[in-house]
Amino acid sequence: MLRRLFYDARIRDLFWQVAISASLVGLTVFFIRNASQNMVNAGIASGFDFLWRSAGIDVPFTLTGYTSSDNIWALFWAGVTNTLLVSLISMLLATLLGFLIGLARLSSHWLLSAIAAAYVEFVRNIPLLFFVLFWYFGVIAALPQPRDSLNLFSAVFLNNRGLTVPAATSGAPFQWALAAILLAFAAQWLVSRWAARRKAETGADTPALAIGLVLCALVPVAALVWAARSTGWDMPQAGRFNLRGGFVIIPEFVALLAALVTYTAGFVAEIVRGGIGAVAKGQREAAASLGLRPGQILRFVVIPQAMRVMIPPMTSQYLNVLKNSSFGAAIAYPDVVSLFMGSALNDTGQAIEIIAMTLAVYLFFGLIVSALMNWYNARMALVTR
Amino acid sequence: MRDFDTKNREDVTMTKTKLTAAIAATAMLAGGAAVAQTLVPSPTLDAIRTRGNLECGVHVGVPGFSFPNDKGEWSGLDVDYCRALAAAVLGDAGKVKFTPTTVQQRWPVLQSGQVDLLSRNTTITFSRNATLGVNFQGINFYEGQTFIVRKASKATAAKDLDGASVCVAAGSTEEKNAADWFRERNLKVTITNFQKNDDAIAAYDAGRCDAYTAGVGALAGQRAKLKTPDDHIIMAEPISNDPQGPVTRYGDERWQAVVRWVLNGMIAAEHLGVTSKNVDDMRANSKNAEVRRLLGAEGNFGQMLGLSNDWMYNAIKAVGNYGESFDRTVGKDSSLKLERGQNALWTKGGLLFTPPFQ
Repeated sequence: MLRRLFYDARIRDLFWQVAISASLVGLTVFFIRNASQNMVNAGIASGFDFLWRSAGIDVPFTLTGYTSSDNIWALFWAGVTNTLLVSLISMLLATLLGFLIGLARLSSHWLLSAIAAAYVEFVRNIPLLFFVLFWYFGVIAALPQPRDSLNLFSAVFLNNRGLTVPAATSGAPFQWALAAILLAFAAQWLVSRWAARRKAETGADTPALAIGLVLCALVPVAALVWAARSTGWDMPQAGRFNLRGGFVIIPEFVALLAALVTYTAGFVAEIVRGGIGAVAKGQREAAASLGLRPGQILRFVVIPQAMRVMIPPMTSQYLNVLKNSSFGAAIAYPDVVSLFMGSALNDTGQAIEIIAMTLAVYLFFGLIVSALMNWYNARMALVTR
Repeated sequence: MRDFDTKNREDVTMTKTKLTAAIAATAMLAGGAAVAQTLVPSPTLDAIRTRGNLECGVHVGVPGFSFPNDKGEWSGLDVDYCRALAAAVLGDAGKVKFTPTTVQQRWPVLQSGQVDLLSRNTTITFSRNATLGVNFQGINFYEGQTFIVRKASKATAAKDLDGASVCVAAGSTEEKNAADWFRERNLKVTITNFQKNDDAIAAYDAGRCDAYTAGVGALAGQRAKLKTPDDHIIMAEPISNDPQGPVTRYGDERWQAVVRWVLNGMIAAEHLGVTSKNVDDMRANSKNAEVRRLLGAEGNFGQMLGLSNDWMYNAIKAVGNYGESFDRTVGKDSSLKLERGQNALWTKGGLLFTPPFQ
């Protein structure tokens, strides 16, 4: 009986899996208990009560409405939103810039291709920290003092304290406008699906361009104009040191964004080049022989096939952007590392809890990025019949 | 053969060390018996003696307090204290290993036992004492937070900073002090928090901020790091009181007492007129009972803490009393030229005080 169990591969596998899982869990529990016991012995506070303590730390750039009289939990969220903000915009811009550079590198124009190649080689062989510091001190050095701000219609000001724009005194109209814009985008998506099906079934064209223009350009503009007119505006004005009023986009944000975008674009460009290179030459030739123009070949034949190759490595790049945004701590960008793992950690000294929470933030959002990209990958994958 | 010899020699050395330790332990026990006092064990003191040096956590670089020169030799008020402590414990002020620590590193470095103490421009606060597992062992510098601004801004006091941008080191008491101070007065000031003091200073110098905030003493030293120090002015009026002093971790009370009383001894020496120059004469000829106890000419105060009786004699001989150290590092004989102010003895209008050596 025992002998049979021992030789049954399924049971043996199960035994080892249970044994290894149990010892992993046991080890983790041991580490946690050991750490907390040692901390109690050393008189170091532990637990998560510190999250409700008043933070008392001023944050120069926040989307959550955090003020220094809020608690540390609010400070944590201010940091997380700043991390996500810079990461998401960086991902978007790096993809666009990377695509352009990647296509330029494949161009038959020698100079364009050489410049793109030089850019990629330069970027890939320089550490990111260098980019961050270069952009930061470069940005600050290049911009004028507040007294000599560059301004646009005396409403938008640019100086070494950041880009100051008028701030709306009430956010509600913009929330309505955002809802209207999202609705218009959803409608556009439905219309284009319907148009594609109609084209496939009946061959009839739909005035897609006109509908798209109305839904994706006119509606958003109208919504924003309406929102802008139905709220008061806090206009920036010259003060003793800086401009007063308005919303300030700080130079740390601009520098970190520029660094992440220029750095990541180099890697994206290589992925694009690799993806397009992976599409068999015969595909282009076949498309050309059908009479498609070069732009159409790229759009309908090459890129859809190249995407399948590009998505998995792009996922890694997006994850890198999320993680690399922590370099903002080097230039005082108030992200989760700087605010929570820097200021709050020092204030409370609760290293284990704070580092674990910061880790969980990156893990959680990293997994979300992975999941979204995997979903997109599955959609784009070649449907084999 | 050679290998064997080396190994053998090592073994012999090991045995010798063990033997010496055993003899020392026996001698200490005997000594303990002689003064009718058995000392509570002090793992930190034992570790320092075994290691042969004191591990002292200092600031990465504030001129006047702890600053390495181009040869890597440290100097400053906080560094002097470490040297005096090493002289008191090991009889040699040179036996200190300095561990430079940033604002962020200091607590873990102390808590984990990498250093025996911190002596680094660290403000004594309630929550640090209560939640970080650290004890503050007296005050070696009464600091007050203030701001450095460009002369061109014509700001002379903190209240003039309404609307300004201020650079600060993240995780410092200054970060919270400044936020509290401006909020309380309803002044709108943007505070940008850098991970390191030096990054904050560099950003201030690059024009990112209108002011940089730190303690008066620290600013006096850090001003030298600016491109044109003369274009900047340090505001005279402090917005906070930030007493600073040596820090130890919880536990090992005898070690904590050593740390506390070496500092007290340096202050007492100034009060009693004992200097590095007259210390030999004072030990031999002074009629003052407190001087004689302090220098080990009478009683056995060193032994009561498990040190040699000439502990404070060694410390003062090597480093001098508090006043000598102050003048040399941050005071009139230094480039900082700070006034004694609050850091003068209580008999001279300052706040520096020591309990009696009785």
